[in-house]
Amino acid sequence: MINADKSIKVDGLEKSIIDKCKQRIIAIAVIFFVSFITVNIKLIEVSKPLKAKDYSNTAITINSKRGDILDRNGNIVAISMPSWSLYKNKNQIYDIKNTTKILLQLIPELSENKLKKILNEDKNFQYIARHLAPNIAKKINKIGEPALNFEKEYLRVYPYNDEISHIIGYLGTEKDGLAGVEKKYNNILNKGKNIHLTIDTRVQFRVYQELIKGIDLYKYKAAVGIVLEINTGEVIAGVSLPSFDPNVYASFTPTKNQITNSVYEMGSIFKSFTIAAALNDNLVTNDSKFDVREPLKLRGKTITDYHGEDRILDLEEVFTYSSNIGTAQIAQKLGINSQYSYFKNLGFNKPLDTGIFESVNPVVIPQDKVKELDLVLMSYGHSINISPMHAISALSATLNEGEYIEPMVVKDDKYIIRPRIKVFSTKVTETMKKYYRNVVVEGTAKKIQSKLYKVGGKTGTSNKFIDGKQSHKKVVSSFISFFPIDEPKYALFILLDEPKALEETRVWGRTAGFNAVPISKNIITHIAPILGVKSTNYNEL
Amino acid sequence: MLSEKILQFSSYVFYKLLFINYFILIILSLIFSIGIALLYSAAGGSMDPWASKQLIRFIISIILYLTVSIISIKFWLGTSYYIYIISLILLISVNYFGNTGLGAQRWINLGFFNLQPSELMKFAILLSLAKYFHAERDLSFWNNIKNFIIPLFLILIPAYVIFIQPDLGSSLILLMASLTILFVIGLSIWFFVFSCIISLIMAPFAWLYLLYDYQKDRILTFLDPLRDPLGAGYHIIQSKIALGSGGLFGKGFLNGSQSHLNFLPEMQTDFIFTLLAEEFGIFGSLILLSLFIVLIIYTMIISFICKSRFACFIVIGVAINIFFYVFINTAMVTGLIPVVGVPLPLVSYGGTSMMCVMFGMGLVSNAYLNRNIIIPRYKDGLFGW
Repeated sequence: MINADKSIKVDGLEKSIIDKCKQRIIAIAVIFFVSFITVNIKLIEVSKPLKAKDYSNTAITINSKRGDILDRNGNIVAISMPSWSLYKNKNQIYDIKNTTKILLQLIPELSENKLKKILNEDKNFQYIARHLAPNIAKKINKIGEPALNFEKEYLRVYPYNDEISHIIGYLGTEKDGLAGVEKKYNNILNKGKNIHLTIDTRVQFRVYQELIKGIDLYKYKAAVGIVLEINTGEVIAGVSLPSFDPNVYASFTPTKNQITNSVYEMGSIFKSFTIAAALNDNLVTNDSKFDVREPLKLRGKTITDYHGEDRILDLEEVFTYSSNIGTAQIAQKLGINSQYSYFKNLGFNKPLDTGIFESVNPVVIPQDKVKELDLVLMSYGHSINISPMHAISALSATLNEGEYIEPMVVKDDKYIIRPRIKVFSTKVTETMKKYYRNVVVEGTAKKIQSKLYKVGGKTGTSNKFIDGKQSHKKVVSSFISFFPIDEPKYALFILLDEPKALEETRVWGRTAGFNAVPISKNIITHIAPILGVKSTNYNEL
Repeated sequence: MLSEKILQFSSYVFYKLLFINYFILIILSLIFSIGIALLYSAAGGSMDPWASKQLIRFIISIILYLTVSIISIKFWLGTSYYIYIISLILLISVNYFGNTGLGAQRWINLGFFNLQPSELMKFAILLSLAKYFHAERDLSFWNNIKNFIIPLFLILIPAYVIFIQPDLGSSLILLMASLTILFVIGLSIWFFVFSCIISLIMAPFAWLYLLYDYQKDRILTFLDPLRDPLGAGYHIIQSKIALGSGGLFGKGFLNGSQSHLNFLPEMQTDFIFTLLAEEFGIFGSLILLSLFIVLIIYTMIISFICKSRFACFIVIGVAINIFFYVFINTAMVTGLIPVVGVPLPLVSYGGTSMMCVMFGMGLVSNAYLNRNIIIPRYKDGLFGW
């Protein structure tokens, strides 16, 4: 058995084969070596641009006036401010002592040693300080040293800091936008033209603030909040947390735009599509009955209900109590072809063109690969991944006279004239209005009930997939609400990534009804007056 | 009698373990420890959820490495085709029973990790190619291109199965790595020249009829990253920011801001190299790359000292496979090639690539132990040998 070091003489054939092999090994070794060198060179090259931050660690500068970005009421959300940068040219400084003294007085953040070093050197061009206010620049000019020169530079300022950053985007080291509207409208802005957003900064602030407050309570990892005017497709507010402050270049790390650029399994809010579609195709009526007493078994997977009612439900109750079994039965009536044609009409087949540069393509199983189980899973929002913006615009079509409007964040004619797609009949939307309201009155979203505003909506909670398995602890909870529900004008979509349960609510607290719904209530209470939605009390008076 | 056998067996195992190649194991452990540090950091300074699981997998794969090393090389020769057939069955069955991940079916759930048969296939192809060419007596066998038809099918069948999953990237890498192995084994250079010409002619047809839209998207995006901000564009832009922000020596351990901010999704897997560059700078990245280069060069040296061609083919094949893992991953992260789902072996979070690499390195160690053995070319024993 033991023969590890037993040496046998190699025969000629074996040797000649291996010798030929060795030549080729050397050949590929050379190729490998060259490949690794290429990667190393690329690696070093990729890290180069950041050297630029050595002399520009305060803000992004541009040399010509870039257009401003304004919100729907004309408030400035991004502006290029003129500023003066001080530099020393090749000439000698006549009075170094005095100049140093005055400069240190006027620009306290300069270090004395560094300043003296710069003033004594005779380089062609060396920055001393950048982005000085006009009055400071004037005083420095009065020193009269010919070696001190100014350069006019524009400074991009975002007054709302990290509130709207995912929509506006930010600039790179040069004058080009690297994300958001700044990138999408880069050429137009660089020509000095202004861009008008559909965003209302007042509403944006309220959504942002409530979502930040919610972190303390529900400890979620990330969150999205969108407000949409459903009859026009204009996005009134869009918040994605964690956010970042685009003002301070090189010290912020841009976080992902989850409004238009992240996909999620949306869960039960998809039941709206399934039920509206089945109503629209006359496959079910108000009076249809669904037996949800037995879990549904499909290809080894058992479909059960979370809010088990254990009886025969009618259509409205399937929606109100969010019955997976009932929805699955409806999906089976609907069929794959019909389901996919609704998905297509609702925009799930392409990235949305909203004016924000980043836009994700929904992850949908190709139609020829769909199996019956997928049809059922998709009917209640699993096995299909869409972005929050896809979700809110498609959900709005179930109310908005049944018309799908591709949403926009920029007031741009090319977006406004886009054709609307009639997806559902008016009869269906009237029914859906009633159903959404009932979720609030009797179903999973009771916590949004308020004396002030009549709201309708639908909750959704889905378990996250972690390492290919469904996690039972980590969920994505979401809530779509429409207000005022009698004549729906605005939609609010809240999505929370991995919310934790409050102690008093135990495990149920992870579901949308306990986190996304109360947050939505706070937001609506704040933004409805701004949007001019009259409270029910007002009507009664 | 029985106790004597146990004694004999344990002395065999002990003897083998004494002469095993521990240098490889040390390099592998060094690479792995960089990986575990990064996973610890990616989770925001916590062993959960990734580092602890990965550690368990590494311990299991060390046992796998040792076992593969000390089993007789004749066993691996004898079972090569069986391993190939089992891998192929797993690969095909994943199309029907696998877990769906974002529109493609690639995994089989094995409890403690998700097996990705396409990774296993790379080493199964290698074993079966080495066995196929081991049996031939005649040098003229190599000069006749007809004799390469069966090996080509051994490669093309799994490549096609992976392609229809659909996973274009893995399919192409499998094809490239396996063809490189065939080149080393001795397939004529003209074959490669002709296949290049044919691929160029076929490319427009493949574009029109074979590729899914998202695959076309990725290629177009690679050519012009501004075209699509999500797919490759997003990852390339973000990983460039990360790579650049590390500078020469990095921001320091646990100080990579992106891991806490979730802006590179799934960064613990294929894009973990960006975290290394961010926290340890170019310096840290070069250290990791050097470790891989040492590993690959050392493996190639072992292939030079093997006296039997089966061992030689196996060793060089493993080196080629590991090279493709490392090169494709780092080239993708730095934006040299389009985004494809390839992990950085032993560093990225995930079981399959680690198990497969450790299995492959176990074969290398096995060949090293048996470097002086001439393996007969006739049938004998349990598995046909």
